[in-house]
Amino acid sequence: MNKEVLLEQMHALGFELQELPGMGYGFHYDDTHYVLFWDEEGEESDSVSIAIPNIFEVNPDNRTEVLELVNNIGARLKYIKAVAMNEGMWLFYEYYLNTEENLEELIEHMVRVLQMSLYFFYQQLEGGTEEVESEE
Amino acid sequence: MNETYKKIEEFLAKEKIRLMEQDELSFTVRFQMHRIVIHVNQEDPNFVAVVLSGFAEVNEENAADATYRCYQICRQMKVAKAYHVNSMLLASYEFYYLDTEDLAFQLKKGLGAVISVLVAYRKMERQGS
Repeated sequence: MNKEVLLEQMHALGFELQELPGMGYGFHYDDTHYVLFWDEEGEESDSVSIAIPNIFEVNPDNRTEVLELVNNIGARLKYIKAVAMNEGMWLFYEYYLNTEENLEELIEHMVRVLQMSLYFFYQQLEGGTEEVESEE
Repeated sequence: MNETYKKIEEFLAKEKIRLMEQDELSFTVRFQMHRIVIHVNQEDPNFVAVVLSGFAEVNEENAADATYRCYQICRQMKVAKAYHVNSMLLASYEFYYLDTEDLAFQLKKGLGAVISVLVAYRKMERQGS
């Protein structure tokens, strides 16, 4: 799939993309900053990832806590994984693309699930016990 | 029984993947010598999870290493993830499918991906990382 198709869909959905050289495209939704990544996998399928960057500081003193948070997020949230990048933890929703059909539906789903996951993450940090389904 | 369940049943039959067990929300298949469970979810009809579990035990002694290995796998592999819950290690590939063709594509990816997680985890274990 052509990256331009994806970017057109993002634009059609009203997201204003800002190119982040060497990384991807940034955009804002509901007071949260997102990053859109596009990977061409050669013979493999292309993939798209949307991430919320730097939701939690990562430093040498909190490594164990970060790894436990990552495990907890992987176990409890559908579709989502957490990854530490540089000095921050990011939430990722990754997807292998097989079709150009229904891309709009996919993008909306990815953003909504990430938004819910961020809410869940902050609940966890505050010691909340409320269950949040990563779904609309 | 939702639409996704029926489509997965058709996919398994078409691909001649050995079905070992099934209940209302899951299929257990034999794939590359492993038991893999494909889950559907009634509240989230386009959600499917392909899960390989129990390939390593996590206890107090190895919990920190297991957590680190799972983290490395999540970093290195796309979509697939590894995590542990209640002393059990799991590899999963969770997806939202867009149409029937996409469901088949994602299921094939998922079955291969969870095996790759297992291979990556065992390699790290051997290397002591």
